[in-house]
Amino acid sequence: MPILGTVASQFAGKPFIAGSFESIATITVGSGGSSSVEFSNIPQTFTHLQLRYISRDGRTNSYDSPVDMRFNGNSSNSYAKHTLQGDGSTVISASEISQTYIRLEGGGNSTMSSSFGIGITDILEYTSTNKNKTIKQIAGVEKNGSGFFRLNSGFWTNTSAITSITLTPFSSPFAQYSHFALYGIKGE
Amino acid sequence: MAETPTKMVVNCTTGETQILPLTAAEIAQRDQDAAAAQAEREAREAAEAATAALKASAKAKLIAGEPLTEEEAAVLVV
Repeated sequence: MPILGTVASQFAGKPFIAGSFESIATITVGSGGSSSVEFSNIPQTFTHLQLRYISRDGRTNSYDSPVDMRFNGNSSNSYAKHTLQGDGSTVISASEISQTYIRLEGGGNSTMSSSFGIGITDILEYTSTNKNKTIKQIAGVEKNGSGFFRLNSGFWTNTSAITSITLTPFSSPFAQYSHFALYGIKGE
Repeated sequence: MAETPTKMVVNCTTGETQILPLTAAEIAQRDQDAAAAQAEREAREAAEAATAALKASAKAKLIAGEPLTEEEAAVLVV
């Protein structure tokens, strides 16, 4: 059965092509937790990637706990991110430049009684060797009745094809049942 | 002795998942990230808390008919 996005694409006049959206790999954190997770040897056969996660870590205050993303093990100051956040009463915008990661939002922390934050991140044209890499993300987290929703965009000023993605928690480790799924998207 | 932190690595080509100890360089990077992130986050959260306090103070003064400070007025006027 096609997933919702591919059904929607048919209504937009684009025919559904079987196999245009495929699971590449998933990681579920076990009982011991994990300091980071990594997708390595990413096949170069898709046009875009989509990373979906639910995550939670060891942070112990009432704020959310972000997930930091790096490509190809690169930790130079070559990442940036822009954010728009709404929580039902306040809107916040922010940007971060010259970072050593793209900070993805939407992680839960240990004070949130088993609540996990979520993020859906598109990584565009990841195989290109002549374009800097861009991402877009929607994310949210529930904080016992006071959660928020975020729209993020980000980039990595590097033209290398992305062959690996490393994700690290704000406050190590990722908690058990944190789940990360990488999908490949074919087409334009 | 502290337990060595680990990472989960899935090879997207073979499907194999491994749990590997972090290298010394990865641990150093993690510690550096954590310190930087904590400082940055605390600064942002302190600024958010200060803004919220100013708004609360401004609201209370408006209700009581008292004059606002410039800072309080600034958080109310966009």
